This record gives sequence, C-alpha cells and structure tokens, in this order.
Amino acid sequence: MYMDALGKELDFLHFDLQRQQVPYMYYKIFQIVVTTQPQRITWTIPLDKGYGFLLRRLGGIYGLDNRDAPNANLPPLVNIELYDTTRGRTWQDIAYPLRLVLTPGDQGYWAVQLAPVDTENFGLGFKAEPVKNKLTYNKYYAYRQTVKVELNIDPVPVVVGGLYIELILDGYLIPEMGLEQWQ
Amino acid sequence: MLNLFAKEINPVKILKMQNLQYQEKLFLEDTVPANSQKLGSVDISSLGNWYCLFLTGSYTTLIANDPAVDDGVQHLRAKMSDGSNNRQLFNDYIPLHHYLSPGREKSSISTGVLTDDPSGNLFYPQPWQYMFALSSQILFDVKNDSDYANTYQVTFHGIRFPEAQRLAEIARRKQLRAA
Repeated sequence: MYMDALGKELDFLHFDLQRQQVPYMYYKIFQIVVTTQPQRITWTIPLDKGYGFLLRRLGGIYGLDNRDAPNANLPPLVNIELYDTTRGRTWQDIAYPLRLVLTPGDQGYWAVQLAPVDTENFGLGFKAEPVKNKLTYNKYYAYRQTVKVELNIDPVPVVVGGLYIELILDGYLIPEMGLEQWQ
Repeated sequence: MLNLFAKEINPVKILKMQNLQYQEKLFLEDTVPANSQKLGSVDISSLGNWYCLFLTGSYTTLIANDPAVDDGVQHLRAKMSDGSNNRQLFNDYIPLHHYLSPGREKSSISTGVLTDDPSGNLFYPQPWQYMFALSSQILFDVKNDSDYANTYQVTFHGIRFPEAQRLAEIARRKQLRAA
C-alpha cells in the first residue's frame, strides 16, 4: 500500500496527473564573512502559486574558505530557526544548532576556477561527501505563505574568513484544491 | 518455531496483481563534458504511467591532470524536470551530493586520488514520490564546472502501471457494479 505525502492511500486506478503532489527541492548557498560579531541571515521563499509546501527534511553543509585560519578546525556554530508564517510564530523556543537535526559536518571548501556555465556558485566547490542522515520535519506551509528560515552565526574570537553554507529544503508542493485553477 | 510470513504467499494473487502494477527501475547514465552543460533524459514508454518512489545515484569527481585525477570535489549540479509539462522539480541547479547516494565513486581514468578513496558510503535513497505520465520523459539537466568530463548515473526506482490493464480493470469493476 502506497501513501502520498499527506498519508492518504494512493489510488492507482484513478489518479490525477495534474493535481498530484509534487516533490520539490529548494536550494540556496550563502556566503558569509565570519567576524567577531554575531550575524543573522534570513532566507524567504515565496511558494509557487496554487500550492502549499510540506517540508519533509532539511539538508545542509558548510565549509570555510581558509583552511589555515586560526580555529579553522572549529567552524562557527550555525543555529537555525524556522517560522510558522501561517500563524506568525516560531517553531522552536530558541534557535538550535544545525548539527542537531542533520549531519552537516565540515565539507571543506576548495577555490576552483569560476565555471563559465554557472556564475552563481561563487567559484567554489564542496567536497563530495555521501548523503547524510537528516531528521524528518513534516512542517506544512499554507498557500500564499512564505517559507522562512533564519540562520544565526555565532561570533568567533578570531576572524576566520569566508563561510559558505548550502541549505536544501526537501518536501512536497501540495495543490490547494479549493482554488479555481484546480477545478 | 516462528513463522516468518504473517500471511500465506499466494502466487496466483501476486501474479494477478503484477498485471496491474510492478516494480520497474529506470536508469540514466551520461557524461558531461568539461565546463559545460548537458541535458540527460529517461523515456517513460507508452506502456503506462510510471510512479517514482525514490532515487539513487553516483558520480565521478575528476579534474584535468594528465589526463585526470580525482579531487573529491563536487563538480556536477543538476536540475530535474517533468518532461510532459516542463514542470521543474528543483528551484535551482543542485549539487548531486545532496541527494544522490551512494554518491562519489572512483573512476578508472583517474591517475591518483587527492582525497580519501570513496568507499563504504552509507546508502541513503532519496524519497521522491511522483507520477510521470506515459510517453513522457524525466529530464535531468546537468552542469559540470570541472575542466575534465565527469560521469553520473541515476536510478529511478518506481512502479509501472500498464495502461491497457488499468483501463481493463476499471471496465471490469464498472461491469461488476452494474451487475
């Protein structure tokens, strides 16, 4: 018996190709200069028209651009907060370390020549580590809301330079069936 | 004495069910030239709709060095789409190590390895439930930022629903209800 993302049994004799739930991945890479001051980065994602979003898993890795910097072997602590924008509240009491919900590790950073086919990768490459364990979130963002993720970077005693963080939001776009476009 | 099977395995019942649905894996392998982009695709045949359950895959991480060396850095990023309606399933080109497992693999072309040999990677299939229409395609557009060609392999694991049998079963149940 197979079930869709919301736990409803799938009917394989009669199914709706147009109004089915769509698996989707949101990806972003952040470039930060780590300093002696705390920093906050906000990532907001407006959802596709006609869909809500069920966040299933969060993935992420980070790396420093200067492997020889003081304290480079202790990457800054990255904390994360998720917001329930539907109700205007947060989904935790305080930001928690990223490493407590997934396995970011330190995947290092190698400066590579900027590829002519991709101008958005900041000219860097991450070590190709295996896919790592992640916890399941199952958080639902309703239609017309925005997915909001905040990263808080702890300050460090000595500036270590550039920090790169890659985040993946892995889930399903759920069509909002009450809308005219799905009738 | 423990009975390993809670229910009797009924071959007749299973064979009948497999007329309507059966596991089928679709395989895509391609080589992306240095510093360029290539669109890979898998055909969903006219046999029937195909329901994807999860993905697994692997890739090389080569850079040019007489002729090539494995630097262990991710050079490939991809964007997946449903070819039937060009619906994009990724918001951007996403590096393969985020969702393809077991991931990095050695290449026989490499004359050396700059980082640890990839081995013993934990197998972590990426769940990916989606129905692809019959006679459509799964599109996998891949960019390579290395100065050497890199190869990737993706297996899409799913279930095939033969269309002729599906329609026949619907007609049969309608007839039963009418009777």
